Amino acid sequence: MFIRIFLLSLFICSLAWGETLPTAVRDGSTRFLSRSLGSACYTLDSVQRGLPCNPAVTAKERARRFDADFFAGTQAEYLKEAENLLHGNSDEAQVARFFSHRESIEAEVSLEASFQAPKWGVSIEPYRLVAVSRFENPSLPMVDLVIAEEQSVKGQIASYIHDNFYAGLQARYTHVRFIGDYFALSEAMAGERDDLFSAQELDLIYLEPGFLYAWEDLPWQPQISAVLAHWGVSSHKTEQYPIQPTGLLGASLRPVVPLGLLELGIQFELASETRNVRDAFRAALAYQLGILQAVLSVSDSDHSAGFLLAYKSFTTGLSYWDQNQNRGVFIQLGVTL
Amino acid sequence: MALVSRSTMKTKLQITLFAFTLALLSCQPKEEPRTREKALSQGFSMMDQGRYDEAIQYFTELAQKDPHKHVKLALASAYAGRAGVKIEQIYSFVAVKSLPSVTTIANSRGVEEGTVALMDTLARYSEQWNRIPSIDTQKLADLQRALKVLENDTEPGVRLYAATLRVVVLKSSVTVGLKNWQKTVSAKFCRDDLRAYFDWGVRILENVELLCEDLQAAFPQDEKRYKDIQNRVQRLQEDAGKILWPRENLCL
Repeated sequence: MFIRIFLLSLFICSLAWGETLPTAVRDGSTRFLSRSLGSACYTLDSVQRGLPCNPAVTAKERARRFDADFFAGTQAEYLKEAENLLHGNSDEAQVARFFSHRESIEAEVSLEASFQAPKWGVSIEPYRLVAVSRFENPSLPMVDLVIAEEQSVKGQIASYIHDNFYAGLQARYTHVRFIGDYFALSEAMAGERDDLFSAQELDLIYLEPGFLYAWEDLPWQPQISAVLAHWGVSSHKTEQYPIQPTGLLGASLRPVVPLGLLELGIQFELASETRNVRDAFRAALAYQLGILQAVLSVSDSDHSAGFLLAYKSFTTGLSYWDQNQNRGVFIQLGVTL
Repeated sequence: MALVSRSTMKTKLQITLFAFTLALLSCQPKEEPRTREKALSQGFSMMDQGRYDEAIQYFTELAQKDPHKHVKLALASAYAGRAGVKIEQIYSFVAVKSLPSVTTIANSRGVEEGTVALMDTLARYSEQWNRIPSIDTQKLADLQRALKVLENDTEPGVRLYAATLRVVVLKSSVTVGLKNWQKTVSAKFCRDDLRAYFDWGVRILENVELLCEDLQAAFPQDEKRYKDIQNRVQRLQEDAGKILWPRENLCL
């Protein structure tokens, strides 16, 4: 009953909302997890970096852990095209190709430290730089640009409620200093460019509840998760950082395999930007064998893959994603104590 | 046993109500929808699909409801797109500020250093001039419509786009005019033929003057520089107006 009501109410929400900005700018999950698994990180919990995406998972923690992570990446092809363009080395076809990108182009650098104990966890992200741009109009490109510098802290508390049911809550505070506007290319080149690139500051507070049904005593350890993400308030309204809640429902299994640990999951994500049912689904798997963890995530519009290699206290990883011919590579370096 | 079961049900019910309340609270709209961008996106999608006539119709209606500079730029760019003037044709001469490097052969022929420098400069300007697209007369009408859409807006970004389109109009007019001139002078021509080209030259100067006005608004920090050029163009126009033409239709 709970799931039915939750799903119905989120669907109603999605109808009440307009257009949203890329979730990557606003998502509060640990960067490697959200880039490699996408929204499936709210259900799959076998890959552990920083705090879990679903705060209810914190209640399952048995040990204390400290993680410090560096994460960076972008779309390599886009950077190469931009470099050629800026140096005047592009011919007409290359200029046309560069400005024909209709999806968001993203770049990101992040530093994060987190401490997790049974039933609670805290995380601090002292520096995160995000750049997102999008082009429209083949004759005179219109640019939607956000370059943001963020500092975030977040805390999670969670508890076992009853039977196989866990509940948790994540509180997240983010301070953002950003430049962002929607402008024509000619405006960026003309005398008004200084006005376009003036910085704004913004404070955001989110409360993100999460729930988990986990049958840990069954052989395949099935679990069902529900999270309400991006639910909060901001110091003032901005187009770049709208408060647009997202409902996430997911299920996962850990089939018994002869070697290693396998986890399979499916995620249903409902937000105002969800255009059709196919967009809402994502499938993911995580496989761990010794010091290697590999993840794979697929949705209708994109797919991503990543791995983590742990040696003693050190972790290194690579995450690759592909969306409509746009490919991005992200690296991850971490320490676990 | 029954008490435990009732307690469990109560807990589940409380959690369900809590989640439901949270979800409903999240429905409260806290942001204004980006209506103008969404509206513009719809027209840009038509342009992506090559449906320029529909895009022009769509942006014309939108501009009547919302005469914002972005809507005017969208409409003007739809006209430009229909005329075949897209970003890849104009980027090379608008965004790349340094003139292309060109080496003339004059140096090897023992010509004076000053002359070589002048020829190199002219060659570089010629190379830059060649980068400007030239379009046929029918398509020029669309660019004139685009300029008409932008004419009353003084925003720098709007004036820069108008200046860019005006350069394409100038290049196209000069190209067509020179082609016709070559045809004319290859045969016998008279004063009346020459007068038509003279008037054409004056119109070119008028366009150059408008271009200077566009650039003054586009780059307020360089206003004085473009004002000086505009003054010189005006003097040329005045001098042209003083020229006395012979009364009889002399032929050559």
